[in-house]
This record gives sequence, C-alpha cells and structure tokens, in this order.
Amino acid sequence: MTLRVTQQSAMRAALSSARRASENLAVAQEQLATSRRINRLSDAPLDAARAHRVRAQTSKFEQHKRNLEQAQHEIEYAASTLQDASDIFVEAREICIRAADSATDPTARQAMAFTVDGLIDTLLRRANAQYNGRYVFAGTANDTQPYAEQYDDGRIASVGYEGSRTCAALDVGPRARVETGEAGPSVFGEPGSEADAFAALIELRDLLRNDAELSEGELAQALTDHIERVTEVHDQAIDAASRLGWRSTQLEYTRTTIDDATLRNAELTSTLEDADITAAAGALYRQEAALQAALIVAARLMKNTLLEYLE
Amino acid sequence: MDTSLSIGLSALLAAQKALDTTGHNLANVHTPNFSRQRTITASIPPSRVTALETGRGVATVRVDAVRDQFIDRILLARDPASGAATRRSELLSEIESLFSVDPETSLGAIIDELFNSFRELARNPSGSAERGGVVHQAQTVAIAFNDLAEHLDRLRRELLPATQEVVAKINALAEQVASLNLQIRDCRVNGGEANDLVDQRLTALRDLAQLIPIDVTYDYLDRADVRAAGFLLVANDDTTELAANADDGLCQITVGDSSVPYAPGGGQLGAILDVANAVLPDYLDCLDTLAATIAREVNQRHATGVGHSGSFASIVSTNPVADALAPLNQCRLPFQLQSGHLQVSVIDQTTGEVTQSKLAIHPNTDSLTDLAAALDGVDHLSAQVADGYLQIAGASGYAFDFANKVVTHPGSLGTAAVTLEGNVQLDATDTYTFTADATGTIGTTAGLTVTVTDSTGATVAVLDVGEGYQPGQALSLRGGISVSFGAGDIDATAPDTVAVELVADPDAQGFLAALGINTLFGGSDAASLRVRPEVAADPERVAAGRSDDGGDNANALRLADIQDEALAALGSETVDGYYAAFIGRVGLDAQMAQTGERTATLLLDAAQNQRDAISAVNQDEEAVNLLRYQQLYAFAARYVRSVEELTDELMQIL
Repeated sequence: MTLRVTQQSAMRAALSSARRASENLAVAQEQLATSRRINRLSDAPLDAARAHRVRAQTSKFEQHKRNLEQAQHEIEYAASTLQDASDIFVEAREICIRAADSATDPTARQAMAFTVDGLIDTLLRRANAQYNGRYVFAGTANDTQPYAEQYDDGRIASVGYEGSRTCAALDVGPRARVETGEAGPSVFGEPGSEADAFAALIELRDLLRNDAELSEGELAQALTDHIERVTEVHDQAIDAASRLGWRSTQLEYTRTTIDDATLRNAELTSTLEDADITAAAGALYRQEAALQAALIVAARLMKNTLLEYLE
Repeated sequence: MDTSLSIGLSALLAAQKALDTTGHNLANVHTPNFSRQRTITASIPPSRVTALETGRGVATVRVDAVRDQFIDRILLARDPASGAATRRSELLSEIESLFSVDPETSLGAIIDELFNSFRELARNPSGSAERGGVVHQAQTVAIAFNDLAEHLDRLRRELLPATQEVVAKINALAEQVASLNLQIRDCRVNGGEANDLVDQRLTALRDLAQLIPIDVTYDYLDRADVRAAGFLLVANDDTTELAANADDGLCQITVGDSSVPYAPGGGQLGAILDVANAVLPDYLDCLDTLAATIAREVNQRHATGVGHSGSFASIVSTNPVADALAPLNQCRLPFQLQSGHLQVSVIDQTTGEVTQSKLAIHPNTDSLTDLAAALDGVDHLSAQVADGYLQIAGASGYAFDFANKVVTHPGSLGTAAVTLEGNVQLDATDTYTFTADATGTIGTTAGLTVTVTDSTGATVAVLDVGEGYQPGQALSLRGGISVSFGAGDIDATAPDTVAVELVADPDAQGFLAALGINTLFGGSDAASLRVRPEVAADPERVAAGRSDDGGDNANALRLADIQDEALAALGSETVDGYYAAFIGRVGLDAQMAQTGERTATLLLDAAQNQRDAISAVNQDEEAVNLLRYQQLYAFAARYVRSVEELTDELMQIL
C-alpha cells in the first residue's frame, strides 16, 4: 500500500521527535544541575522508596554511634573509678593481713584504724563519683547522690544506698541495647549484706580499734577471718570492672560494625540517588544533537514544496 | 455556434469550480479534521442521439470530500484514552510534586528525626535541650502532615470546578453537534453535500471524545446520534445535559433530571473524577492512617510514662466526649477501643508505698461516667466528668500514674512481709509466685530459700534468705524489680506463697491515648495532628521515663522503638516501610500516567497519520491541480475565442 504523506503528518512527526528530544534534554540538564538521579518520585519510584529506607537506617546508625561514644566514655570513667576502688581494697587487705600478725602492737593497729577511716572516706567519694554532672553508680537515679553515710561518735558508722537498682540503657546498634553503667549494689554490695564493701571496711576499722575489747588471740583470729571478707568485696569490684571492660570491648566491635554498615549504606544511597555525571553529560550531548537534528528536519520540510521549483 | 459556445462555457465553469475547490483545499490545509474536496465532473450528452451529434461539454456533478468513516471511528475511539491519559498525567504530576524527595525536608525524613529526637532524649532524659528537641520535632512532624493534607485536600476541592468546567464544555459541544445535525439535514434535504459542515461536526465530536467516551451512529440524512456510556447525549437535534456537583466530598455527575451518579468511564472527565474520587481520597487515607498510627503509638507509650516531675497530683483528659453517658465507642474518640484493663498506681508520697488497681473497661457498654466512677473507687484517688472531660486527682499526700510500677506490698510469706520495688521491664505480662522451699526463720535458718517462678512454672530465681541474709535487704530479680523479705517465719508445708502480677503494659488497649490523658499528640488524622499545647508550653511534661529518677530513660527508649515495630494498623509494616511503600505508589502512579500519556499520544498520532494519508490536503498535489485547472481554463477560453472568431467570420460573409 502506498502511503500518502501530507505536510501535516510530516510536520507532526518532526515536532513529535523534537518534543521527545527536548524532554530527554531537560532530564539530562536537571540531573547535571542537581547531581541527583531522582528529582521527583516518578523518576525512579522503587529506587526512591528504597533510598528512603536506606537513609532512615543511616540516620539511626549515626544516632547509635553518638550513643555508643557516650556509653563508652561513661563506661571507661566507671571502670577507671573502679580501679581506684580496687586499690583501696588491696590496701585494706594488706592492712588486715599485717594487723592479723601477732607481732603487731595495739598502737600500730590504732594507726591502721585511722588509715582505714581514710580509705572509707575515699571509697565513699569514689562511690559518689560524677560524670558530666550525673552520679555514676546511682543507677537511673543519677541526679541524686547514691551513698549517704551515718555518723556515730564522729566516725562513719554505716553507709546506706539511696539510688536505683536499675541502670539506664542506650541503643548502640541494631537490636543492641547496652547498660551504660553499674548500679552501686552490684559494685559495692547490697547494703547490710555480707557483700557490703562499706560494712566490710567499717568492721575492719572497728576491729583495728578493738572497740569490742577482744583478747589478742580473738582479735588476731577475727582479723584473719576478715581477710576473706575483704577479699570477697574486692573480687566483687573486680567482677564489676570486668563486666564494664567486656562491655567496652563489645562496644568497639559494635563501632566497627556500625562504621561498615554506614559505609555500605552511603554507597547504596549514592547508587540509588546520585546521577552518573559522565553518563548525564553524554546524554546531554546526545539529546542536544537529536533536538538539533529534529529542528533541522522540520525546517527542511517546510521549505520543500513544489512552489519552490515553479517559475 | 450556440452549442459550441455552451461547450466552451461549460468547460470554463468546470475549470472555475475545480479551481475554487483547489483554493478551498489550500485555504484549509491546517484546518483540523478538514477533508480535502474534489470536483466530480461528467460529460453532458448530446440533446439528440444521432451519428454526427457530439456532447455538449462538461458539468460538475458534485463536490466530494475524501474521507474514510472507519478511520474517523478509530480516532473517536482513541481520543478518550488520549484525553484521559493527558489529564491524568497532568494531575498526578501535580500531586507528585507535593511529595519532596529532598533527604532533609521530605515527610519521611522529618518523621525519622522525631524518632531520633527520642533517642537523643534517651541519652540525657533530664536535659531541657533534649526535651525541647522532642517538642520541636513533634511540632515539625505535625506541621508537615498538616501541610501535605491541606495541599491534597485543596487539590481535591479544586477538581470540582474543573469537573464543572469540563461538563460545561461537554454540554456546549453537544449543543454544537445538535445544531450541525440540523444544518446537515437541511443541506441534504436540499440536495447539498454539506462537506464542510460534516468536518465541523467531526471536530466537535473529536473534542467531545477527548472529554468523554462516545459512540456515534448516523442516520440516512447523515445526522449523528451520540451515546455516552449508556445514555443518549445527542439525538438528532436534541441534547441531554450533564451536571457536576459535590456530594459528601466526592465529585458527582448526573444526567438530565436523574439523581443517579453517572460514571463516564474515560476521557478527561473520567480522569478527573478518578483522581478526585479515588486517587486523592486514597492518598489522603494513607496519610491519615500514617499520622493516626504515629499519634496513637506515641501517645500510648507516652501516657504510661511520666514527665520530669514524676507522678501526677491531678490530670485532665484532652479529648472530650459529647455525651458522658454514651458508651465510649460511640463517643467519636480518635480510634475504636477493645475491652481490656487499665492499671493505675497510687503512690504514698511520704512512705513511697505503691498500691495498684486494675480496672476492667468494656468500651461498647461503659461510658466515661462509668470510668470516672471506677477511678473514683480507687483508694486515695478521685475522679469526675466535667464538660465531657475526665478529671482525676490524688488525695492530699498521694500521687498517681499509669506507669508500670510494681505493687510495694503484695502480701506476706508466712509472717515475713514481702516488699517489692522497681518498674516492670518485661515484654509480656507475667505472674511471679514466691514459694517457701523450707520452713525456718528469715535471716537465721541456714540454707533457707524462696523460689520464684513465672506463670509457666519456670524458675526465675532461687533466693537465699537464710543465715546471713539481713531482713529488708533487697534482692534483684529478672524483669527490673527487686524483692526483700521482712523478719518472720516461713513454712514450706503450708505452703506459704505470694503471687504478684507484673503488668508489662498498664494500658494495652490505649484508653489513655483515646481520651488524651498524658499524651504528646492531639488530633486523629493528618490535618488535625498537633502537639498538645500543655506539652509544647512545658517540655518537662515529655514522658522520658517511668519513674521520677533523673536518669530513667525507659520511656524514651520505648518511644524510639516504635520506629522499628511492625504495626498492625500499617498492615504489619514499620513506619518507614509504610511511608516508603506510599511514596513508591505515588511515584509509580505518576510514572505510569506519564507512560500512558506517551502511549496514548503515539496511538492517536498513528491514527491521525492514517486519516491524513486519506483526507488531509497535500500542498504539492493542490499545486499540480492549480496548474491543471489553470491550463484547462486557458484552453477553454482559447476555444471560446476560436468560436467567437468563427462567428465573426460568418458575420462578415453574410
């Protein structure tokens, strides 16, 4: 079948080509100007949806990292404080051993009692340590001093705990929530129990002062028995420090995981959203040429009629 | 001679007519839907049929328009798809432009920042900057939802005048077709061809087909009857009018005097109605679902936490009911409620003792007044309804909250009082049972233990309360609580047991959120979402914790956890997943509309090219015709001149 071509249909085809080339040119220009492949949802709907999910995840990772850094600082500070407490227990144990020696005279024990008083005071200050204005060993009640002493006859008779037994936690990774500290009782023992570190030191001081007026033999035996108790409260503090250390190590692994995941997300986001500048520049050049060609064809069509050749 | 002159004259007239027709074609080369015309001539036979008689010249019998009705029908069939696709693409592109893809200003990014603000609050729950950050971000979320809902709704409202405009055009074009039918009939009756009138009618029909799908039939006088999806729009020279009105927020089309809604099924009108009555309401519904779900989930968790100042001395609901005696589910609360329990904790501010009451609520039968009466019946608590609002107050020296505290004195094991402390941190409600394992005296009998089991019978802990245990000393248990035993004796043979229910969620059904008690958000959809003014004015009310401990961030963590939860109201999607699916759908709809427009345009252009191949004017053809008929005219004139010269010669002879 011979197709009869009129000027109208030829012009329509030329304009249609020019319009398509213009549209594609505009897309390439926009991608170059914004450096983005997706400038509206219809540019790539599924990629736009996926990019949103990836960005949401990246934003969470950034928050996790901030939390992780805060948690690590708090844990390191608590661990450092526990190291000081550990030194106190070491010194207390040494005093206990020396005092248990029958060669030690009462005067020396009195001096040791005075030293232990100082250790109690120092331990109290360590237990009430603050980081960034918050009490480290108070659990969630970190705006209230956790340990309070009661005096009797000018000396500390007991130390009570007024903090919380639960600790705050922070999200440091996907499904990774970590407590950022230790509540006092888990470090210094439940007040009033055998594990109470303050009670152990106070009892040591009282033994050294021999307020109960024990015989030398009884006193030596009591001090010998007390070595184990001081050792146990020391071990309790070491356990707490170990837990903190393990948590800190875990946080390091988590940091690495987050860093890797953040990097992967950044690459994925770039793949989904960023324009390939080289490809866009090439497309711009091609569409410009296509548009010019379409316009030249349209111009030629308008010129070529029979009238051009009739005199 | 007379006959010769007639022959010449007939040739001159035929050439003149042909030239006029060619000129008419050239003048209408760009007229849409014009069908080129050509003269049909026939020789005039001799007056007498004899051996030497010649014909009497040429006569123009008629002027034909070159057209193919089949191609015209194809165009009329493709016009509605083109009109619909173009309009739909235009509207969906406008809708799409309302959804920003900017990584910082899109609605999705703003929602994510809300959950990040909860995580920031968890880092420093007593910090005013962090609390202010939560309020600011919640306000930003509310404004983003409000703006998007307003834009979508405004667009929907603006489609009614657009629909009315299209309907007015349809009515006008129908009138035009009817008028042209009349003129064409008159022309035919008088023996005319009405070629130009038929082309004008085709233009009107095609314009009409862009707006609404039509089916055209012609009668013997070439009058067009136009059917539009079930009714006769044009019948000869009569028309039926359409009307467009809003009905319950939807655009509706009616035909003539009928009140039955009419569905055009295509064309620009069909596209506008589809966007106004289906697409936009669907998008608004999705937006409302997302806003309402975020508000409900945040509010439910916020309501069971406490602000910086801890438990409440008094509190008033913020969602009033019109009828305090009507069942709650008939009070148009933000969402429908299921039957369940509400646990309220009352705290003696002097001793710190916590007592609890668990209220059963049946929202299909219980009214707000019933709920107030139940709360009023709780020791040291009073409640009443005033102007549709529920007011709850603690007695002097008592505070209350709806957080997951544990009852202080659940009972005694033998003669030893059991004391609990802390906040329940379990995923699901459980019952802990304390059972004496042996008989003895607390703190004295060696090896005396108490076993704690959960509701499945599994052992939670075995507590050493024998020699070495100090009565009153706290022992930690799983689930965030600690227990202590007072001095006394326990007996394993009785056996002595104490059971205590540990409620994981004091308000699992969301009664507090529905009534607006201790909530962060007000409103129930995208347009009405807002931060409660009391919280906006005082960020200390943001419920970061579940106790008044300064470092308690448990509630902030619960609020942040919403982001990762698969929510039933969102079809078991997370907030991010639902939003991603939503924008994916908006983008796909727009993309498909653009593709549909390109396809429809290509199909229409192909049909138009086919019509042009048959009916359109080719300027080169007409130029040749001009030459041809010009020559014919010249030769005819020369013939007449020759006849005249012969006549002159004859006259000279006579």
